[in-house]
Parts: sequence; structure tokens; C-alpha cells
Amino acid sequence: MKKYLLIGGSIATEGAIEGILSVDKNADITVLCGEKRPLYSRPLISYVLEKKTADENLYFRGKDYYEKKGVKAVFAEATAIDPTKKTVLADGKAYPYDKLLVATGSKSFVPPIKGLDGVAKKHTFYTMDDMLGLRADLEKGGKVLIVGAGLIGMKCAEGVKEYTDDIVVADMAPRPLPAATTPEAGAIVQERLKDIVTFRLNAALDRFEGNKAVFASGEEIDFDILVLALGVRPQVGLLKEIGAEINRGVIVNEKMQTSLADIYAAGDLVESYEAVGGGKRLLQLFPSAYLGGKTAGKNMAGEENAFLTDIPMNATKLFGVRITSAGLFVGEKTEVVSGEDYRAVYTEDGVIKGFILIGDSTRAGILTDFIRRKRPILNAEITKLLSDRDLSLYPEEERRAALGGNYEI
Amino acid sequence: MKKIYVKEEWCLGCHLCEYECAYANSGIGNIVLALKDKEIDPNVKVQTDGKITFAVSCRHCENPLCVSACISGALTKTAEGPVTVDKTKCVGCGSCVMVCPYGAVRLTKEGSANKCQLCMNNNFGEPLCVQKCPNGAIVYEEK
Repeated sequence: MKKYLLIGGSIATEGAIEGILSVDKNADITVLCGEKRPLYSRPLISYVLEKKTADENLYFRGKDYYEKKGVKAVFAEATAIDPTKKTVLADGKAYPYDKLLVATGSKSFVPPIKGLDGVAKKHTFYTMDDMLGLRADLEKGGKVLIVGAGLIGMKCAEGVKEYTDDIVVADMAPRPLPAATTPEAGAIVQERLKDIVTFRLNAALDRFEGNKAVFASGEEIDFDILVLALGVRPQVGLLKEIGAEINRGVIVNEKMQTSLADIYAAGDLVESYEAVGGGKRLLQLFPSAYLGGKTAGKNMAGEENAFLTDIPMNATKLFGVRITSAGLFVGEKTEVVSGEDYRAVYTEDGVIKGFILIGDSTRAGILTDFIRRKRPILNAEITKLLSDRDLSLYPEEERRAALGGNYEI
Repeated sequence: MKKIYVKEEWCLGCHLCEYECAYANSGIGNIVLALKDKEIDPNVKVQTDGKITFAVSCRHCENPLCVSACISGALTKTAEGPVTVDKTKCVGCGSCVMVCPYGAVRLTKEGSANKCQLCMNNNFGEPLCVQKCPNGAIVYEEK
């Protein structure tokens, strides 16, 4: 019987389990969980910190997910892959495989900053342990400095707000969410949040002096608790050691195969095919991890499957401001501002490349599908796509087939 | 599994399905009390391409994108086939709305995801939109 070994234990692993089991119902699957926890949902940590959902809901598929699926879970960190013997070493034990998935994800990036060692209460905000550690400190009170105004830093700020109003969010960038928004949309978000969070933007951190951050401008900010939210880096070490092709992330083909035989990779550590740009890209997104993992799993189990519809996308609500985006912000921009809502769509050569919506996101999935499938648009339809989009925007035959049950979009 | 299918050519565009859906999921046993003076937010929406009308609700996909994007586990593809939503687990991030190609998942005023659950979460039996469609334009069948 074929042995499937999965290194990871997060969303790509879950996708792979579902993919393998869809082909091979009685598969022999072992997961090496480096984080030493059952499957949980990392993006939920900010909502738990915010007390918007309960701790136990982190285990979003149930704490007994692996048992339910008949998967052996080993709570040990993989330390080496032997591609010749086809084994993986974890806690001194060798685990054999016929097909291997590396889904080690990514890790918080902490750059060397002068004086960081002298900061007593410092945290990153990426894993469940990070959140629990931060929460324990927040419960004791104090001023909070968050360095990094990206999605992780801002979602963290939203959680921290439940414990204190004394929050400063600093970033080198001129606006919050620099990667997830356009300058126009970012400015709107900043404006809406300005009375909720104190921003220090265009602020390059120089050093820490005890519990004081000193910026390049000379400005000093005192804090009790520090959160470093400076992004994440793919964890490619295991595959690098054995010579897999790696750029910023591990290069995989559309079947999620690495350059090495019988070794697949999915999730935050991969550079995989991205449909809008048409090249390989490090996406590091929840749906990409799940669907990439699922594709890997199917191929590992012997069913040919290609993942060709992956695109950048993000949906979140930040202090009540809803932000929904997909694709790339390239090409010609069409903007509509209507009350509290901001909508922009980016088009090139008659197809939608990207969109960003602040506020109402009703039926945004139709816009996303236009991007994912490179559906041709007429200029006349852009207005409808930006306002009251619905299924009438799809070709009639396709819509009829989908609603009639003969086709799945 | 049995699903809702739409026969576009029979749709009158009367929107009755929307009202019946809102009633079925109101938890109130009388349609007048359930709907009078209320703005409805049904799981089925009548749309038009200018020539013809059709009632759109969740397709309960074989490979539902909403479920693969759901960070909270609120959306589930059940073994029996329907895609269900557990509002108590939803955190309202809107990922499902971002990916559903049918625009069939929405966020309610309270901020959680909602969608058609084939009237399996109420006491009406067969989906009420199907039962009450005056022209047989919405059917509930095994295909």
C-alpha cells in the first residue's frame, strides 16, 4: 500500500488529505505536524484575540480532524528529507514515504534591529502560540507598538483594541495595507481608521532602547508590548538541503510537483502558477494553500490534476471597513465612488485584471470569476460589473447550463 | 443529491420565490407577521439579462470555492451534498463572497455569511421556493 507522508499540518495539508482521499479512500496517510497542534485556522487568531470567536473555534474542522479522516498525526518537526531512501527524519525517527508533500508554510520575518534583544515583551503574530503569548501580555495591560501596517499588523491591531486604546501602528510605507491595496484605496482605509488607530507612517525604525522605539526621524515611542508584523518568509529549508529548485519559494509545476521525484509542495512556501500574470508567483493565501494542497493530493494519489486558476485575492473587515480585492492592479482603472463605497476595476486587452472594493462586496465572486477565467468584457459591462453585477453578465449558454444543473462554473 | 434547478423559460419574474424564502427562513409561523413592513433578505434572487428572468440561489457545488476559502469552518460541504453554513462560527471576513462565482453567498446585516440551505434548516420540507413557484420554474430534482 502506497505511503503518503505530509510535512506541515495546516491548510495545504488539509487540502492534500482531501485530495488524496477523493482518489484513494483507504489511503495510508501520515502527517508530521511541526507546530505540534491539531489542524487549526491561522487567519482566525486575530478574531480570537478580538474575542469575536471562541478559542476552541480555532480548530475549525474539529479537534479530531485527523482521526475523522483516518490520518496518523505525529506531533514532531521534520528535520531532514532523504530522497534516496525516501524517508523523512523527525524526532530521531525515519518516516518512509512513497509520495511526499512538503507544506511547511512560512514563518514570521524578524529582521535584525539594534536593541531588539533588550525588549522585554515582544511578539510576532502568525501562529496560535503567538496569539496566546500576546494575549497573556495584553491581559496584564500596557501600551502597544505594532511595527508593520500590513494585513497581519492591522488585524492584530483590531484584536489589541479589545485590551487597550493605546496602540501605535508604525510602517515604513506611506499608508496602511501597502501590499493589499492601491494608493487610492489605502488612503480611504487610512482616513476611516485615523481616529481608531494612531499611525506612524513613512517611519523607518532605527533601534530600540529598552522599551522605547527610536525612528530614523528621531521620533521616540514608548511602549510596553511590541508586536513585529513585518511579513512572513517561506520555509524552504528542508527542500533546499536536498537541492530542489527554489527561487523565493519552492518552484512547483501546475500539478504542485517540485523539481524532485515524488516530492510535492503546496501552501505558503511555493511559487506556483498564477493565472492573471501568467507566471510563477508566491501567493501565500488561504484558498491557494487549500486548493494547491488538494491538487497535490490528487496527483500524489494518481489522478492527473492541474491547478490553473489561482489568483491573488483577499477579503477582510478591518474595524468595520470591508476590503475585498482580487487579481493584479494593472492596466486601465475604472473607479466608482458611491457613498461609503469605493470600487475600482482594472482592465487590459478587454479582460479584467483586478478589482478592489471598499465597503459593499455583494456578488464580488462574479468579478473574481471574470479575472480567474479571463472572461472577455465589453466596456459597457464594466459599469454593471462595478454596480449591480449578477449572473446576466455570463454568456447565456453557460448561465443556462449552470442553473439547469448540467455544468458547474 | 437533490438540488434546485432553474427552468429559465418558465420564470415569470414575479419574485414570489424571494418572499417565500424570506418567510421560510424567518422562524415566524405566519407569512404576514414574518414579512409585513420588513425589508427581505432572501437566499434566492431573481435576476434578468433584459430578455428573460431566472432565480439564482446556491448551486451546492461539487467543489465549492466558498468552502475552500472559508477561514472559520462556518461553511461545510456535507457528506450528503448540501453546502451548509454555521452562523455561530462565521467571523464575517467575506472570503466566501469574494469567491462564489454565482454570487450566491452574501453577508447579512448582522455581518455573517448566509445562503440557501435547501430549507433543510427549517420545517418546510422541500424548498419553499420550489413548492410555491407558480409556474414550475424552480424544481428540486435528483440529476
